[in-house]
Amino acid sequence: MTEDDNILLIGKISRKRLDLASMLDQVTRKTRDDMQADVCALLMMDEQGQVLSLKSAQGLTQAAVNAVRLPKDRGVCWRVARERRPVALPVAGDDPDYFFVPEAGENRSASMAAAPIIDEDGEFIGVFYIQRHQGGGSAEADAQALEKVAGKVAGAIRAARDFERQVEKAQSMSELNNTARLINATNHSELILSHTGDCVRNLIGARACSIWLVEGERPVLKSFTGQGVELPGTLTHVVEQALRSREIINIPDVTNEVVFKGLTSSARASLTLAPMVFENKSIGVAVMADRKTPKEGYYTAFTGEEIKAFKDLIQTTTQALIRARTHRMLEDALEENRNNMRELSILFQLSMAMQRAISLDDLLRVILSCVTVGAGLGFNRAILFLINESTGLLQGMIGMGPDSAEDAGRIWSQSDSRPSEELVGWLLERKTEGPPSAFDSMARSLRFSITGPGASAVIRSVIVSKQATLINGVWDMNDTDKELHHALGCDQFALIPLIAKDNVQGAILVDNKYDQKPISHMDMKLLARFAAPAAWAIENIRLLERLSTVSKELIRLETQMAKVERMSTLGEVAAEMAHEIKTPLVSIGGFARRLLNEGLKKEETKRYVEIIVNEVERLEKMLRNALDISKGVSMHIESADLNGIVEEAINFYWRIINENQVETVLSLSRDIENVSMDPVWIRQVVINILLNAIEAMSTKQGERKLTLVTEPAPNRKGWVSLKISDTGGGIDMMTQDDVFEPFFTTKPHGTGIGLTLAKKIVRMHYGDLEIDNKPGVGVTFVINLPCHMIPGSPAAV
Amino acid sequence: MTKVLVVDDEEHIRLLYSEELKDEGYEVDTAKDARDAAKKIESFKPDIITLDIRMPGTDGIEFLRKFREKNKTTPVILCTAYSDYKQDFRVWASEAYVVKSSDLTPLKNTIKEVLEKIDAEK
Repeated sequence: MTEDDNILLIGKISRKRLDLASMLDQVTRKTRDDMQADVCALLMMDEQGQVLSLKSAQGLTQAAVNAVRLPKDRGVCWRVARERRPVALPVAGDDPDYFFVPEAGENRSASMAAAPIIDEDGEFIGVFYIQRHQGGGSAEADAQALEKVAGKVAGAIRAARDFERQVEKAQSMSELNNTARLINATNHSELILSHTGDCVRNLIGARACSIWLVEGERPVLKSFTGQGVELPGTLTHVVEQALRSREIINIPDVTNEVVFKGLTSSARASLTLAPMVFENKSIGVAVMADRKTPKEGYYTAFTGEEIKAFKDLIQTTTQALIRARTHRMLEDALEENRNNMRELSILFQLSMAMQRAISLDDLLRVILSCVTVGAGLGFNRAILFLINESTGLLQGMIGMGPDSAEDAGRIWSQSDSRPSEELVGWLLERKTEGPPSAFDSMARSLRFSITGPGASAVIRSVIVSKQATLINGVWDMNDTDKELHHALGCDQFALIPLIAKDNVQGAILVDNKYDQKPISHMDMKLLARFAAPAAWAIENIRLLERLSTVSKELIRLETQMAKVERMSTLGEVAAEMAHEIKTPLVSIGGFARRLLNEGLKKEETKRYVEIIVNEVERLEKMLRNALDISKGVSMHIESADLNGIVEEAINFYWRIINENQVETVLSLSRDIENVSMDPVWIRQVVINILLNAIEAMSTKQGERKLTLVTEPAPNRKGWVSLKISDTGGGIDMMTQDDVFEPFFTTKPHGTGIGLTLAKKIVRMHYGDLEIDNKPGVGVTFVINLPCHMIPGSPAAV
Repeated sequence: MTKVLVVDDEEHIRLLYSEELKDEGYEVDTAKDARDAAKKIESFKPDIITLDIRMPGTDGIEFLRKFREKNKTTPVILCTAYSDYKQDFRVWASEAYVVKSSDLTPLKNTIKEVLEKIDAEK
């Protein structure tokens, strides 16, 4: 095989698509074999031209490859590098430049030949070298042969390097693609930015990468990857320039730029800025700084390819950011939509529940249930306050929530599993079981003044200024709020005014004492929305209750009116009848008396006539009373002593009292005022009741006791009361309501007028007559009279 | 003998009153209505008159008013079923007022009192 063959072969090798190391190995092996040398090696110069490294060797230990690094200007190889021509050493040890490489073994008698490898551009790449152990005169020929091969080797190395670069580029492209995939795989802006930064550093080979995004009008640094790079404030100017121009800005050497003058301490060599453009608008700028080189602390400018890769990458990043932003906006919109839907559904259900509450108590309970259940607003605790119109204080009406953390755990584990569709019914049916909770009791005991110097600032703000207020901590409160703060034992709470018809009715207080969940603005919004229908529901139910009271009163008045009408009709009929009956009665009675006066001889006849006389007398009395009821009675009001009237009546009837063996007990208070009254009529009332009582006891065995008590009326200032009690066995329960009805009587000889008249007389004095009936024991009549009658005529009854 | 004229539309009342008053020692005549009374006053010339208020035609009060225009001296005792005329000022023209009752004692007493009063004034 000739040298030419060898050269040809190396040309072939160079066309093979091999990596550099494999190619070099094939070259050295082939050359050693062809030239029958002992050692064939290839050394290459590093980029800085400082070190010659052994890249391939035949006839040496493979451990030497890459380990042997010849220091500058040492040995035959450096001589070749220096002189850029082949060198032949027939006996190596004779050469003054001989340099011992341990891995090559010491053999001073060996011959050596070396030739430079120089590429087409004349750049020195490395040294091609052979050695023959026995030495000899062929060194010069070897050198010449090597020189020829070296030319081909240069081409082969170039080809291999090109191939390697292509592979590397392909790898880097695939990594770029991977990165692009990573960037596109996430909707988190932070991840997109950090992937971009990593890619710029690791694949493009920048020392640092920073990304600036426009917020408002200004670029703001959002991401920085890299180390040891100073960020001069002046960078902002360049960033803004890139934003404005929407063009790539490449600064190969920053030290030449005016804006970076004076930053000599920075080792930064270059900057490349890529604007992030979407729909003709700059949303930000990415900056890569300092192209890394193998030499530590040494940086160069970016190549055109790298800048293009950077530009492409940043475009991907821009699109990913826009997508992430859109996605986030969509998510937010969806979330808001979901919240709104949930809110609407909750509010709807809560309003339904509130509308169906039937009393104020019921409603307040439903409202707080709404505020505290998980399917509602879900606060830990809530208190509802209403303004008490008579005291002017903000008054706790009801509290809902656990008493302790343990209690909270127990309650929450039991409830909140029900579907929200059943919320309405559940809220309405939810009754508090057992005794009120300690929290409820505490809530109900709360009273706060709304105005005045000591009033809580928080409460004033809510009630007077109608502001929903969120207290986030003690710093939001002052001394006036101590009481409220102490009662709650919680630093964060919210107080929402209840407003209907522009009037503040009260407030709802909420907190999350147990799970400590912060009260968000969303919560406040929902609460405020909830408070409006709640306030209206309260207003409505109050109106309803007022209406119901009024209507009850109307019904009562109507009944009373009907009664009055009945009375007056009855009265008219009675008056007419009385007139018609009276005259024949006078005749009957008159003639009966005449018969009696004539001195009837027969005792029986005499008794019969007496009966006629007595019965007629009773009828006449009854008619007189009946007419007194039906006619308006005139009164002569004067200030009189009720005690005197009682004593007078007792004295007047002492004979009847004695005859019926009735014990009388008088307890007449000397503290009662004189009463404005017509003493004749009031005496009549006392007598009517007195005689009833005596009559009730007259047939009774055992104790017969009549008790008359006068005293200032309990709980009614300016009133006196007279109680007349008997032990006559009381009134049958069935008839108790009827005793004041005209013509009602249980007595065999009663007219049924006495009590009706008594009641009428008392009412004419603006007083009232009550009956306290104890069946089997006795009856107490209570006459209450105002001491000073309202000026003007007596009451129309 | 003192003469009493009883004016009442009820026959039995007239009979009762006249019998009772005769027993008291009076000379009694009766009239059944206002017109009858006017005649009897002329013919009988009573010393005292008992006058029912409720009568058909001219009632007692109206009769009293007319009678007083002519005669201011003869005493008249108004008799009625009930006390509801007490407030009627026209009743004031009478010397007294008696509520009718089967017990004629109040009427007899009143007649006696009025006559005694008139005697005392003479």
